[in-house]
Amino acid sequence: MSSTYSSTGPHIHSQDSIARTMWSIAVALLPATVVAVWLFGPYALYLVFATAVASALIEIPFDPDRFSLRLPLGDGSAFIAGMILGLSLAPTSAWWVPIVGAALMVIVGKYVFGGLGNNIFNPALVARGILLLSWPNQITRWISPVDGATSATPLSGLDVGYLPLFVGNIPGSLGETSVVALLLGALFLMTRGLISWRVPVSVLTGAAVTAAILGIDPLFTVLSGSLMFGAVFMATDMVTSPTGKTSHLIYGAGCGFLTVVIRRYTAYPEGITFAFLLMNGLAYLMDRIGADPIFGQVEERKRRVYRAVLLAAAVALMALLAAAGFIGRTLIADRYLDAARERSITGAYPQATRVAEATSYDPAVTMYRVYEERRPVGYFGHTTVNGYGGPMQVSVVLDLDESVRSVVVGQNSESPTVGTEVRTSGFLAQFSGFDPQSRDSLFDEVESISGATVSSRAVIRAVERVLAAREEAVHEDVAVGMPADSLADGVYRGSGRGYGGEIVVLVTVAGERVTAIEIEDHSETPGLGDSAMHTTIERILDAQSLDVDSVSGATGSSRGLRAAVEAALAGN
Amino acid sequence: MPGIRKFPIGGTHLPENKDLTTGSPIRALDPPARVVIPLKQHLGVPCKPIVSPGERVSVGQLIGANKEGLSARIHSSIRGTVTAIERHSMVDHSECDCVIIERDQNTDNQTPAPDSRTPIKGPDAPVPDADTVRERVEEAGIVGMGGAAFPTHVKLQVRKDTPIDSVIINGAECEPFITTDDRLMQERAAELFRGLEIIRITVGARTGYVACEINKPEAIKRIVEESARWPHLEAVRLDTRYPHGAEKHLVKAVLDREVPIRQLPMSVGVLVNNVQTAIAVTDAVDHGIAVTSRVLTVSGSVVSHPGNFQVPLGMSLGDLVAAAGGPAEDDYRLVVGGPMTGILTDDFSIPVTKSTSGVVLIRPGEYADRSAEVCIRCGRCVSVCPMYLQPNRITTFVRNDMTEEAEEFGVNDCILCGACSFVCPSRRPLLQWLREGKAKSAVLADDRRRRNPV
Ligand code: SF4
Ligand code: SF4
Repeated sequence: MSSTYSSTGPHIHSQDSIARTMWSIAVALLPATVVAVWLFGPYALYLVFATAVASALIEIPFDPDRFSLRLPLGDGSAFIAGMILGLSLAPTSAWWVPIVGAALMVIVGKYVFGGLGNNIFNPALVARGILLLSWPNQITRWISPVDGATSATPLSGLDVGYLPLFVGNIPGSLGETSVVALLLGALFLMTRGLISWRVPVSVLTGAAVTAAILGIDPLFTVLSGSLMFGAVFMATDMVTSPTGKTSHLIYGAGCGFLTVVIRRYTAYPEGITFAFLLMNGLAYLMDRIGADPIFGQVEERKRRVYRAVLLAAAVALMALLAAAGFIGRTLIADRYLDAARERSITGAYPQATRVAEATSYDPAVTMYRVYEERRPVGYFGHTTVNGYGGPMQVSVVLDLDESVRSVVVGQNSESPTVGTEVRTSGFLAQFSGFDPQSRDSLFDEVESISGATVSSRAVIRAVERVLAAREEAVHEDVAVGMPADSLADGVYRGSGRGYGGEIVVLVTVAGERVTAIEIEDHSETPGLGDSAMHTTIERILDAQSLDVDSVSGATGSSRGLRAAVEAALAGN
Repeated sequence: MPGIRKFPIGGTHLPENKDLTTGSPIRALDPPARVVIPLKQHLGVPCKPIVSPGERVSVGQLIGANKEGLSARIHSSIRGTVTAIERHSMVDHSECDCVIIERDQNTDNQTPAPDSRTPIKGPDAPVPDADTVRERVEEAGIVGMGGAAFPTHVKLQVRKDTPIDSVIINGAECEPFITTDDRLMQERAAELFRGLEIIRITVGARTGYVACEINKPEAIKRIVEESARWPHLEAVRLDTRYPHGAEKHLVKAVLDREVPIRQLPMSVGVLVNNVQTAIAVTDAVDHGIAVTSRVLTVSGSVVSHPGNFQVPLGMSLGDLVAAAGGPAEDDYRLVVGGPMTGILTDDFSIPVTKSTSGVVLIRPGEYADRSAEVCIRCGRCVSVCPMYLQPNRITTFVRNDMTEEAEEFGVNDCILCGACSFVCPSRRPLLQWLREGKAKSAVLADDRRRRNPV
């Protein structure tokens, strides 16, 4: 770092330096630190500053030139990265976490890549990622500053209203809970020209829009967890973010989008770590694709506008096509379903008056319950499997006692002869009367058509699938609501299949409400099954609905009980 | 009057330091004992001397001309005797033939008396036909006095395929310390507008503009007053932002027209001229006065009496600094031109030329010494680049000899304004590397031409 001057100028300088830049960021982190100490106590101060100081110290042997008597903690780049890492720790982290974290950050995050300016990934996030994977408890055991309760996830099931999110008195990492403190820091950085507004704003916008599309509360998404902290202090990390204006926007939006997707679909409730790391890896690419046209590239700018319009049109067209396809498919499927339903239902249940959709445990299987008057008489399941020539639609009509009544094969892409064979030969008849409770395998019971094994096996697979989905569904989704409202006062008896066998209940209806449920007979496990049934009864009475949660560990008993109550109310 | 205008993206604010000299009236310096007049003070080929040693010359007498190629005539700036014609070093490290003239001992005042420039003609005065104007401008040896030094009579020759509809006088003066145009607008606004009117009519433009940054309130006041008298001329206020004085950015700010890359403002129907050039046009066309002196600022906090001076061409930097009271401290650096784009030198014998816009002595606290630390990818150079380039990336390519990539990312579109170097917190000498990049690209282009002649 020898000092030179060139005769080419400029001969004056803004007098800015790396150290000044970094220490300004430290100032911007102060509000969040103060709030952390206020909310979580003096141990928070230890966590933040131990990480920061440890980072600065660990850096000394790697790059002694950066340290001097005037700047004993170096140029501040390690120190602020340490502060950021410290602020992202859980308040209950053990004493050694700051030191291990700092070492990981400086060594793995920074010097493995060649030190300041050369690392591709944000060192604080690298350290946080390793900690998160190695000692999840240290990073994600959140403590509520209000009542001291700990929880494993700050996001799921948190229902606190927006104000606490703003102030910060919610469970979370040290520096991440208070939006106000973070905004103060952001304001400072922006007025000093150290970060561009584009990054945090696009991160938050990207997250909010993605959340809205996925049906999550956008405001909650933006205010909760470490998103705001990440948007202000992590996504803006100079070394690992792009430098251009357009690329800032693309990069930020990507960070926000990935964060929400990771929060929603993965086991990590806190999405920013991996989302931002992924985007860090793309930062250099973004500077390339997001490079603004050079001043005077008039044609190029026009071309870009033109390309953007084309792109938008293409996207709109694709969306339109997808929508048309979706609607078309639904219509066709519905028509098919109606026909198949009619054929199979009127064949099996000539007296059927009503068909209601029932929940299915297999998303690929649609389940219906068939009623004659108020009485459920059977089930109808429908699914699509891959046959020899393509998708094949199979409907299965079931008895209430869970045995197969008939199987209908609808639209398929099998060769005409094979398709006809499957439909006309005695093949389908073999399914009738099959009782899944017999624990026999359909593959043993049903004989494939010779010369059409693939198609035959596909049908068998489909029936198995419907049976599996039904086994759950039969007990799970017993009724839409609890039709006690039209029943006369009195006691009704009903039975359902539980875990150990039949459960028989007596249901008392008074004033169109279920007032009592008594268990007349059952063979459930003593203790566990017993208490589950009683809990379920309480829940049903409380909710005046059958739509209540099963007792975990004894779902079979819970479902059986609900099935019994439903049967009673249905007058079965 | 229209609002304050600016160019859309990039640029930065500099410490202006203009208050040192904005209030100091232009003072005409006495002719020095000896002047060194370069025979090339313009873009193009050097003039040939038409005087020989021993010959007596008077102020304004033609001493150099060249009929072949692009050039601008050279006149004597003092009355005296030619003592030699010899090579002398210039500020840009080149060497050039110069006419050395020693002053007559017995004459006192040699600069043209101000009254020879009166009366100043108003809006109703006729303008000679275009050929006459160009002829007089050529005779007077006028060049772009903002620094480019392009011969003005050539610039006034409009090409058929690119008609000019607007003329802009560049009074942005965005370099720190320099107040030359500022003072000229304050003191000689009437001549400035007359010059602009002459240029406007000569090139057949509809409108003329005088654009000035709002950090020069007195100058703005004067040009706004003056513009009220001229039906086809307007005063335009610009926001204070470096580099507003760059031609393409000035055109964008004033007229919202974007000059395509590698092209001149002419391609969008605009002609840009310097303040002092326009005044020189008035002097030449209305009064027959050649360019023998120029106004420039000598400033810097280490200068004893900073100010704006009318300096005979060929005066040495040493004499000039001495005329401003000399440096008050020992520790300083001498910059010719503005501190952003000017050139650092320690040779006080270098002469003032037509395109010397100022002399600044900077003190140690202001130095931009480079330690070239690692790039922290802070993006500040990108956000200030008025050409929307990525100086960090281009310079990385340049330093790794990846000249083609540097070209792809626009090294040749860099206007060398230095804004990127100014803001870089790592103090990387970006401007120097950009110059190297342009040089490497030129070599590569030569190479390509040789291997692949058209
Ligand atoms: S010197 Fe060149 S690269 Fe740097 S800011 Fe000016 S135009 Fe941009
Ligand atoms: S301003 Fe300097 S440190 Fe920042 S990106 Fe540009 S070259 Fe790198």
